[in-house]
Amino acid sequence: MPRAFQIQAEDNVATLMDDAAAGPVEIIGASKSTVNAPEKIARGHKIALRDISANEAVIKFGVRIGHATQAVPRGAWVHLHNLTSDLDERSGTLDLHSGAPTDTSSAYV
Amino acid sequence: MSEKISSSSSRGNEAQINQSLLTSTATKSWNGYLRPDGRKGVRNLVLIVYTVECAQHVAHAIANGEEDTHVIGFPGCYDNAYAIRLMLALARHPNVGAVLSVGLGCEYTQPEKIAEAVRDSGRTAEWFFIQQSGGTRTSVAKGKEIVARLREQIRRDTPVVPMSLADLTVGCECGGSDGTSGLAGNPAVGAFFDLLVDAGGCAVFEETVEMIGLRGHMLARAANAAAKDQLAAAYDKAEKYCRSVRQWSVSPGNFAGGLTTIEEKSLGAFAKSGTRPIQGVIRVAERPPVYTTA
Repeated sequence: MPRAFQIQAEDNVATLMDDAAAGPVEIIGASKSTVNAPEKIARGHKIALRDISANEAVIKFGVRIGHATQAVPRGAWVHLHNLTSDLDERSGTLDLHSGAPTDTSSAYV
Repeated sequence: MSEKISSSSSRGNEAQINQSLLTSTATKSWNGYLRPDGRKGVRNLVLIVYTVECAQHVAHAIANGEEDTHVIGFPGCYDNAYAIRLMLALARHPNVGAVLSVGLGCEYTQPEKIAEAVRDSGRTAEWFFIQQSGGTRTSVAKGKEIVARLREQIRRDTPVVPMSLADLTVGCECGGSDGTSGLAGNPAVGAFFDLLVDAGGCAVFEETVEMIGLRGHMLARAANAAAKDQLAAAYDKAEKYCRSVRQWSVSPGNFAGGLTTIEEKSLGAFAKSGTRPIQGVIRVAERPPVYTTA
């Protein structure tokens, strides 16, 4: 079973240590459980450990790393499509898969 | 899956392992090079310094194929205090035994002045201008002859003395970040920094633009009020810069690797600093102040 590591007990996301297909993911680290991922999640990416509501803080390392831009169900892939920085206003505009900026032209106006 | 151990006993084991590592690392001793100011180096280098971009090729050609040489330099025709401070600090670094300073001849930065400052530190230094040495090829040949002589001299004359972690200052630099950096590589650097500091050494981390989002988290590590003020000023300067250029130091490669926000990337980067109190902020070319860990 692919594994994901939860760093601190208060974290609501864990980091995938293996590439995961849709299906069960074993959570290790600060807590132990199995969470069902409805979609594939790549190693290094994050999985929601519980339901996170829109605008709620996303916590990793015990620290706020931004906020959810929509409701994120437990097991979901947490990335650019549903989590944005509290500071970096461009973070929500990046291409979900490549991370490439999509607002380049606006930077030159 | 392998047998699971409870988190409390796992932490106990980790503490024991750290303790035995610390004991063996703290008492570890090896041979280093004693400099006239009492500091010790782990290398005995001839440093080649170029004082303008037009001398850069000759400096690298001199170093090419030569053992125990490093090249540094400054490209501009006109000097500035930052560049001079940086070159002088590197030229008198504990790993440097001797210096050859090479200029073109028409630039502001004077290789002779650099050689003088290095000599004042008790090291041997030589310098020349390419324009007074017959051009590129003859300058490279002349430089190689000087480097060979300097290297022979420092190998023969530099006192070799025992040194330990307490004599070391180690800095950490950046690396490419993905979702695993904050879990493995960076915390490993942080664990080493804790060992180093506990053994009496000095750890330096950098890149305040990659501490963005961690203001409170970082200030909580300050050793005292003065350090807290310095950290706050460095952080606020970096955040102001990021805001003004709309760039927060996260790249497409970071995102593709699983990082989503600068705050998340910063936490990984900050893990390199370990867990010990932060004593203060130093500027480029400044030496860390001496402090005692009690």
